[in-house]
Amino acid sequence: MKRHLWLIPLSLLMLIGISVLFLFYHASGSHIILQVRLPRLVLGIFSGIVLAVVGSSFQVILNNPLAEPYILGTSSGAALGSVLAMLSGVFWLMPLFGFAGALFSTLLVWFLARTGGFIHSTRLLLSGVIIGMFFSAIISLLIYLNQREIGSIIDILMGNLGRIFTHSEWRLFLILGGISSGLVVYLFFLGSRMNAVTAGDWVAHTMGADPVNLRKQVFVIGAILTGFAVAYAGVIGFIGLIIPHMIRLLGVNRQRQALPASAFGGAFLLVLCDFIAMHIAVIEIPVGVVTAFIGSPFFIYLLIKKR
Amino acid sequence: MKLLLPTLLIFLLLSCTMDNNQAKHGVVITSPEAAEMYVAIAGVKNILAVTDECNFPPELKQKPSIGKFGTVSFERIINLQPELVITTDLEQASLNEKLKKLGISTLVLYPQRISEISEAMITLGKETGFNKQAEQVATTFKAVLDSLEMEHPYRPRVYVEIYGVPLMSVSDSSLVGDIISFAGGDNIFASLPRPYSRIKPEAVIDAAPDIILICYPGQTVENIIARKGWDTIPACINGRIYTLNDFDVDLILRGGPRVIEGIRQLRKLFFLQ
Repeated sequence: MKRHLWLIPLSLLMLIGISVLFLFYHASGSHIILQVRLPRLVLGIFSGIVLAVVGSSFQVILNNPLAEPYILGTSSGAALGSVLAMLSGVFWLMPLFGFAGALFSTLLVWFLARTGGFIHSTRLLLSGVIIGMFFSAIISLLIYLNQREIGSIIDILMGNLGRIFTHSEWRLFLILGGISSGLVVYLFFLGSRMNAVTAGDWVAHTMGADPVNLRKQVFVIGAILTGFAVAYAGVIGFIGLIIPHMIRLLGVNRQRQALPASAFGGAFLLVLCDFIAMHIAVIEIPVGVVTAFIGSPFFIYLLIKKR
Repeated sequence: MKLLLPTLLIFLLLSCTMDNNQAKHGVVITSPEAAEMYVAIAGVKNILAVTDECNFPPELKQKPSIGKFGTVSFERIINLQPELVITTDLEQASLNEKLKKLGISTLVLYPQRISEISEAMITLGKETGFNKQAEQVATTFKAVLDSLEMEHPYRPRVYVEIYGVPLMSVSDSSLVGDIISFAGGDNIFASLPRPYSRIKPEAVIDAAPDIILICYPGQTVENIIARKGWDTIPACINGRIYTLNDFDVDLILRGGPRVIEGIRQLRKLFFLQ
């Protein structure tokens, strides 16, 4: 078996290992493990998979190593939607608002980046950055006007997996998680067509793929997945950027292999970061801060090593 | 024509001098607990303006507003030319800095223990020229407090949820913690690293409190019981969860003279008197 093919089972094993540690470390009993830690672990795994898979897909279809939900403004749109739902007092509608925000920002970016029926990837990234900044400015204004809610808004902006679920919220989460898993599997089946696009739009056409339609599909699915992830876990950067890169730097280029490896790798990294966020200090620290602290140096190391 | 613009500008500048029809002597109060202390000592007469959150006594609602607790309008304060601005610390620390820079006399009152409330009222009296009244109010406050002090052979374990998203509670070094303890409760988060701090939900389940106090609006007993894993907590099993419908949270959050009522109110909840 080629070296990189070991990546999928290896990342899955690492995920299982960190999950066991996450569940049992300093746990006082089975009640805590099943009712408190397990939901948090499931949310961490779900968000990690979504962020890494969407990041990987965006990078491939746009042929740009910087593309990921955060850079493309999708996360900011989802965050704005979630913040608005929270400030309006409709907590249970946060997933829906998050999804609507993500979809709205994605469509806006798409519209701005379109020239003559084609999407120019540099233009797309620029539009994403600008829309992201604009939405962030609205969030800043909302923070200023609602200083009492600052803690909850920080949770959305810096990521927090410690959400307290009621039984009905948990059932809704499982349903939405099921739908999202279906979408992740669908992205996996689009894998070979995504690979065709990396060779260029004309080549993809000759191979029977429709690049514009494919990008549309991946964009909308990416927006839905990011919307759900941000609504439940807040904005968590780096996972969508570094995990797909690491997988590629380790020699996996075909999407059908890169996607499962990214999924398990993303889930592993996010659960590890959440474990650290929970236990490193007396007070829990935002998980988005930990992902940046761990992700950046490791990514720099990989870049230097591959130079 | 060349002189028209400068002349207009000078005219405009001159016409912009402060409207000083309001009383020159008086106080502006930015914190609700300071307002309660001030009114107990000096009444409402000399108060020029307050923030929107200063809602007790109800007469304060008639006073002009200088904005919200977190976003005070400096222009309105300057315009009123107060003798003194009475503020609090922590969330208003940056406001105090700015007022100092503007050269406005400021008194910061931030009692963090019940015992500091009478001291704060005496200081307030000295700074505002109501020494006698302040000492009288402080002496009465202390006397009532002494009469309320008692030994509690049984102390119910209490969890105070000061905020829900994120989950936050109080330590015994906070005013709320001190009031809980004085009223006979045993705060499950007595030794948090900060007076007001984030906590983990599993720590609440592990601590198994007998009573849960919800201190923010929009939360219901049903929602607390429906939280995953919370069904084993004695407070949830025995229906000892109290929300804003069951008690006046201002009586335990504000370090003013009404803390006495807050202690009595908590005792009723803790010991079902």
